[in-house]
Amino acid sequence: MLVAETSGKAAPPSEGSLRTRMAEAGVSAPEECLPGVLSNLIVLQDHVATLRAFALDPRSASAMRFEA
Amino acid sequence: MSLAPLSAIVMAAKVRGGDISAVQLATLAFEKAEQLGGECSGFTRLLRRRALARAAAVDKLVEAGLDPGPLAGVPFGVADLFDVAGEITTAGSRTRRNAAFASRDSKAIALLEAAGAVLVGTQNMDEFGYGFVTMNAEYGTTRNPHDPERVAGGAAGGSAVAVATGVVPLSLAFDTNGSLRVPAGLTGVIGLKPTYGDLPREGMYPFVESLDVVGVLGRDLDDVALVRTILREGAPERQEPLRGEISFGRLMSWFDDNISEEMRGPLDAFWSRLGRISFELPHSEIARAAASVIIAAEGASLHRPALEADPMQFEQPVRDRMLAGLLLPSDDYLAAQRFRSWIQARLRRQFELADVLFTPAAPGFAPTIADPVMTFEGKTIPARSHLGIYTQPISLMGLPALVLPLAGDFAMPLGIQLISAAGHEPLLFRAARQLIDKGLCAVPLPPE
Repeated sequence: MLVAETSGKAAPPSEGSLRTRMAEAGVSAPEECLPGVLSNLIVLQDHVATLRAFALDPRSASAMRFEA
Repeated sequence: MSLAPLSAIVMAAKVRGGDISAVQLATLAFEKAEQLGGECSGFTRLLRRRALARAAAVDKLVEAGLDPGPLAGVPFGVADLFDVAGEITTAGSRTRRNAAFASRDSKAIALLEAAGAVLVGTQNMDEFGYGFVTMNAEYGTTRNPHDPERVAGGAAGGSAVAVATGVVPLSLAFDTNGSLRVPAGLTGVIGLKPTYGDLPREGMYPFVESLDVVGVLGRDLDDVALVRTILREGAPERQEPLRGEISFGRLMSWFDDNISEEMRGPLDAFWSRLGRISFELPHSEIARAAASVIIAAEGASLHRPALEADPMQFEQPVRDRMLAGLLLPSDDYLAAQRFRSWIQARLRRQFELADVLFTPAAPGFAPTIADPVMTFEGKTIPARSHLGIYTQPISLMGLPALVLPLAGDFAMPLGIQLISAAGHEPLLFRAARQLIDKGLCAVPLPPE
């Protein structure tokens, strides 16, 4: 079983884990959709890794402000 | 030889002066749109009956000696996510083919028509605004008027093309992550993405509520400024206007990487004329990552019921992106929003060093429709998801931006993105006027 290697570093998703996560999220899609969803999830995970690498103190900024 | 179309302000003056009627202007817009066809005009629907009735009402006011407003008789179009009374707001998606008819016009349409303008039709876009190419499986691909074998850019490509071809002098569009700035740059028109919250969104189909803004596309700078003024309904400017000479600075690093050869030379020449001052905008890559996470999470959340019901109703690229977005942990979404607040606060200091920053609007010429790709970090990747690399960080920061075409004899239009501090749109317009007057920026004539 894949686990996070270090804090904040996520294991890469696979088609198997994608099926599980989609089922847990309550969505389903035909099997032929999985490769496309998986490649997008990997891109998103890269973005998330970029974000997580920037250690912003949660108290230093609000996550709920919606104005410029 | 092609002649420059009339600006909206000149059109309105001629209507008010009785030199031309609003009905004639609307009829000319319909003739041109029909002559070009949907793919080349940018329009998905022409609202002939509504427009001619509205135009006739404008003409009656003129005949009665009354003033229909500063946009008297000016035809305009809207991206197909603005509610139009009695029509289905498709947002470019097959999933909304059987949606309820809109009960009223969106506020932005109502305000422009109250100023005398005449809505003539709806315009093509990427499905739900999730793309940078305006290649839509349901409503077709919008072609770039400067080379019909190339994309118009997106997501609001139809709105840019309708202006670039001279069918209408103005389009109302939207910008989530570069949706109007990328096509403005690739088709050679002016595009305003205002500060987040500057213009009214009521009646606009949402995509990403924390990034979506209403914007304007036009051929004439004063037209675009006038539309903003009308849409703001007299609200005071958020910032005191800056006086004196405007200082410009070019953003480097993220905004200097991945520039194509065709853009690099003209951009360097433009920069030289402005004094070759450059700045870093730290954390732009993180800003782009945060924007992508926010879009994926909010877009997917908005469309969750439709994705649960039948994901195959969505176009494949949009479906894949949204299903992936549904799986994002809330912690990552909140981290992206937190970063957004943090960087907005830091950015205020950046504008103590330069009044107006600039970047390319897009990496280079519009990609081809047959092979819509671009080069990013040495790899060939889909343009659909990456053409907005220079617009995305600015969206996250909530800053206003104005895209102008670079002046020059290029094979295809090249756009520059001007950026100011939040609430400083008047400064952006002043900077743009200066660049146009210096001959550094110019809107190309519509192709024959």
